[in-house]
Amino acid sequence: MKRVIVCYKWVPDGADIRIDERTRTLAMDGVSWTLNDFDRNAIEAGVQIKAATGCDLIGVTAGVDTEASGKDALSRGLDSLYYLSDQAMADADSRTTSEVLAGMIGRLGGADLVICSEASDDEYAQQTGPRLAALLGYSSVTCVSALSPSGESLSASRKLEEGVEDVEIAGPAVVSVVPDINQPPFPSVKQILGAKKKPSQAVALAEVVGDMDRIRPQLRTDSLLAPEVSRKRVSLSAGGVGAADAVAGLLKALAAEGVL
Amino acid sequence: MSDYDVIVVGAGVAGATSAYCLAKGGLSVLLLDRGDAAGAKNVTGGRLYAHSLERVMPGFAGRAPVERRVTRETISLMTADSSVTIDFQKPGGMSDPASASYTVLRAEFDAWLAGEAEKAGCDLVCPAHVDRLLKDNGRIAGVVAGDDTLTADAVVLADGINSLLARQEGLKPELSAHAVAVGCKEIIELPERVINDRFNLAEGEGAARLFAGAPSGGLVGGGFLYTNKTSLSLGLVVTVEGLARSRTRLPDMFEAFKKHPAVAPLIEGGALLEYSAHLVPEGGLKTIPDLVSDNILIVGDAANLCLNLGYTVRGMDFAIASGQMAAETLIEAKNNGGDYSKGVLDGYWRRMEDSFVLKDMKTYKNAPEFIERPGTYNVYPELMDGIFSDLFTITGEPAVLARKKIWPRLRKAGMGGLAMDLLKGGNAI
Amino acid sequence: MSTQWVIAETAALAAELIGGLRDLEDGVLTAFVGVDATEAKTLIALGADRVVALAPGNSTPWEDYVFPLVDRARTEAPDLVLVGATRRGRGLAAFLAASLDAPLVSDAKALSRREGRIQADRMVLGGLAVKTVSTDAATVIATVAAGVYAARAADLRRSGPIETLEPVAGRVRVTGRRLKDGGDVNLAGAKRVVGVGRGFADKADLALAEALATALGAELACSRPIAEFFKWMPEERYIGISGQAIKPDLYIAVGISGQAQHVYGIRDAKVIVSINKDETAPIGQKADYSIVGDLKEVLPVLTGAL
Ligand SMILES: Cc1cc2nc3c(=O)[nH]c(=O)nc-3n(C[C@H](O)[C@H](O)[C@H](O)COP(=O)(O)OP(=O)(O)OC[C@H]3O[C@@H](n4cnc5c(N)ncnc54)[C@H](O)[C@@H]3O)c2cc1C
Ligand SMILES: Cc1cc2nc3c(=O)[nH]c(=O)nc-3n(C[C@H](O)[C@H](O)[C@H](O)COP(=O)(O)OP(=O)(O)OC[C@H]3O[C@@H](n4cnc5c(N)ncnc54)[C@H](O)[C@@H]3O)c2cc1C
Ligand SMILES: Nc1ncnc2c1ncn2[C@@H]1O[C@H](COP(=O)(O)O)[C@@H](O)[C@H]1O
Repeated sequence: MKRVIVCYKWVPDGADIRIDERTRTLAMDGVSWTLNDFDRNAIEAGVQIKAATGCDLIGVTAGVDTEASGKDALSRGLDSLYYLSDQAMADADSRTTSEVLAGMIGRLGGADLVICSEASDDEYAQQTGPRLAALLGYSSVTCVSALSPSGESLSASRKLEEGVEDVEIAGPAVVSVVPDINQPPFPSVKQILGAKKKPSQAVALAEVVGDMDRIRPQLRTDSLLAPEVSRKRVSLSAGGVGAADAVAGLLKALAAEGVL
Repeated sequence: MSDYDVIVVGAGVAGATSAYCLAKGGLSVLLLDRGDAAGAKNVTGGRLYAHSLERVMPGFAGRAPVERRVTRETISLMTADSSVTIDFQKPGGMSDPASASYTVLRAEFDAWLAGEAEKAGCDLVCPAHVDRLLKDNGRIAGVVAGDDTLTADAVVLADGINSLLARQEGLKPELSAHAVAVGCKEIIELPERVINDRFNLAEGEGAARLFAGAPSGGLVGGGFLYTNKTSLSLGLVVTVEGLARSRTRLPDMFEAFKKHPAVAPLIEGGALLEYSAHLVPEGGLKTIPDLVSDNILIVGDAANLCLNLGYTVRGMDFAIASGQMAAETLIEAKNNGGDYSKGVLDGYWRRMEDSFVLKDMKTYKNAPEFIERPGTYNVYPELMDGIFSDLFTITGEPAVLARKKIWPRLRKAGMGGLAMDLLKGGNAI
Repeated sequence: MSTQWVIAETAALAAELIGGLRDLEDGVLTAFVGVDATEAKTLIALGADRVVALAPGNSTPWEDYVFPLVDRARTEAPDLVLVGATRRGRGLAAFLAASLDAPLVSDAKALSRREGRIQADRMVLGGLAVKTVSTDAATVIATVAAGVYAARAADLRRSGPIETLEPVAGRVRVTGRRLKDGGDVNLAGAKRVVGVGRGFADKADLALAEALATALGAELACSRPIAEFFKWMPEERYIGISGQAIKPDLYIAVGISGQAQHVYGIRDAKVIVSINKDETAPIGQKADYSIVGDLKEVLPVLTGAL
């Protein structure tokens, strides 16, 4: 392995999103952005391959204001960062994203291995990895729970519904890893400080996609609303009643609901 | 060669201000906080007296995420089911930057302040939990955080009231029950329009409401309510000692406070966003530890620089000013050849003595033995204006005891019995 | 005449997708499914016009079918392709979509066709919101999870061809398969479920939840950290966006904070109860009934009262 690329996504922090209960709309202003949770595992998987092979480990990300992601992503052990920050990514669908990422990886001269994670926190599309593989002409291996390089090939284990499938992968591949693959450690202060000194390069959309039509989203968003919830929200402990009274109240309510 | 000139532990308002000033002064600075982000877990009532930060960053309120500028003050003296409320409004008097005060939410405000420090050139790392101070031949030489050892010529401790590090170093004694109060606070969400209507506020204007008497169940302490843009900060502060003596638990006391007829309508319909509890240093002047030792300075709550005036707590302006003065002292030390020994750093103590920080701490040295006389006041507006101006307008000019100003006003108003009542309070505050 | 495809690993899932497609629109429906001859016939009775049986060999990953599927899609040009949202299915669908330059709606619900556009709902932002997307692309692919659609009644008069398809080997070779012996978990069909979360400080305390489940005749389930990080329960028992979605009459969340990712999985429960010591935990807003209290205190009382 000479070059391994980790694709990670910079996503809005769901904990900051406020919902207007009346209109069910989402307030996104003031929301902070963070590294996609599962991508911590993807980066750590890359770090372990680097430890085993001495490969060059590059982080690739595309989105809006992705420059801000560098500090966190690089502190986790990537050697360098290649990022694209463009407003056009604001309403990207999986096709747009994978076309842009494939363009970026192509411009880097390809890779022996591309690591994605299973899903992004915001879109949860579970598409980017396999789509990238198809576009790059690489093999796609999803649900990867263990990964080890052996010479020019890779062995991987896949966590599937009925059990584990072990595979051998020859040639370049895009793997999508599941969180079981490792336990990413917290970066140390020195790693966080070191991240500032690592190379980070921006690339413009026009440099990576030839035909702008190919990054036009195919899926149009017609609406985005909080799901309707019609729960009763009865607190049985209101007024500081003790456990026994609360439980009695609960059993009465459940009997009335006909679920006991 | 050390990694940094100075390492600042704790990115609350004290630490962030210190780091900002140090970086502006050309020193290499590392600011560490154990929270996921600066201010992530910090608790305050929510009212920032602007004067001290105004000196560090003139016009800061135009850029900072402040919630509202306080233009209305009320204080309610409560019995269990009644209250007398004194309303104080002086938009003009509170509008100049130095005497203005703002409501703030720490998670946003502290993150912003630490961000300013970062922009000024300081390195900021969070989360980074400092476990202990690093020693080299008995000298403080940096900090140890997890597996990391980071060296510095000097350390600023801004790690808040519990300051484990100051205690480890023997710089600060264990907290004693009569030197701390405990505060709890809820952030209650309400639409901006509802807040404006309910508190009679124009856009951007804020209300500060203080409650004394019944909210603390007769204990020394009181309640506060501050309006934010789309939420209220509602809190209660009582002494730990009083709490220990009383039968009521703080959460129950808080529940009763929320149900009080003077409070319930103010928070009605609001959704609880966040609950927190925190200690408040309140031992006053007597408990301020030695703030200086070789290669180390202590600022903000870690140095017990906080006043509990019963129904209101004041600490952020002290924290900011102490952070700034610590930075000035260190910058001077660096420029004079890098000698950070106690003798040189004692300049910090002198700066504090010359400033409102220690002067106010001295003035209020007998607080919190403050007025707590629920009753019916026949309010003479001019009198109250005067008293309230003294009480509420905090400019960073050394404070004059309210009593000294109240007396002439009282004589003018010819109020005998009331005067005696107020005087009892005025002596303390 | 429009052309539709169903691609699924198992006959059971294929039957549901066929039922869903048949309710949506008419057309020639081809099902690509891992089935034997009898199961293939059943799928025809259930609404497929033609079944293509898939039987990958021991060293062939199921995903190798994607290459002949791409070729075939280029000639047949299906306008709607539903792929069973299993782990393999999701990956295959995405590879197929990119190869055909087609849009793919992941985990689609409420699929419909309106004025020539295919519209669907999907959960985003960890369950905080539903996004309604639409497209007028010539070929639209969607993955659909088990339980979204129901199979139709069998019509035994129906007949149709049954074919087989040969996978085309890529560069991935299967070297072994290890089936897991995770006992039978039937959360999907359970009427009552007790869910445990990180509020359980100790594995031993799970006994309190087990006692409650026994008293209620309920299945035990959990939040993700309990299964994935503590490994106190098998993964089949965790509920949520990346776990199972269930539809019981009664769900009792004990020591679960109620993050959107978890709540996604219990949205269809008839009644939700929460037991949590934190009055402000989000679950309070998402439950019908809540008891604020320490689970160690509340559970024995509740179990005792049943
Ligand atoms: C209920 C209540 C109401 C109050 N109301 C007001 C008010 O209205 N107005 C006012 O001016 N003041 C008020 N105060 C006081 C004010 O909040 C404090 O004086 C002020 O927050 C002190 O700031 P600080 O920066 O010194 O400490 P803190 O804000 O406590 O910050 C300390 C920081 O150090 C970090 N830290 C601690 N230990 C470590 C470690 N080992 N390693 C790394 N980081 C560490 C913490 O994470 C934290 O960020 C109130 C206090 C309370 C509790
Ligand atoms: C991409 C992604 C996908 C995810 N998918 C899923 C998923 O499918 N399913 C899932 O469950 N999670 C999922 N998560 C994780 C999810 O966000 C939450 O972290 C998780 O659900 C929290 O689990 P919890 O409620 O058990 O723990 P916590 O959030 O830690 O809550 C524990 C609760 O227990 C209460 N408690 C503590 N002690 C006691 C006591 N003694 N008595 C009573 N109550 C007590 C606390 O008040 C608290 O509310 C996902 C996260 C991501 C980022
Ligand atoms: N905009 C992006 N930039 C970089 N990587 C991405 C991006 N979007 C998705 N990915 C990668 O693809 C994975 C799956 O994302 P998704 O297909 O959106 O569920 C993520 O975990 C990342 O590894």
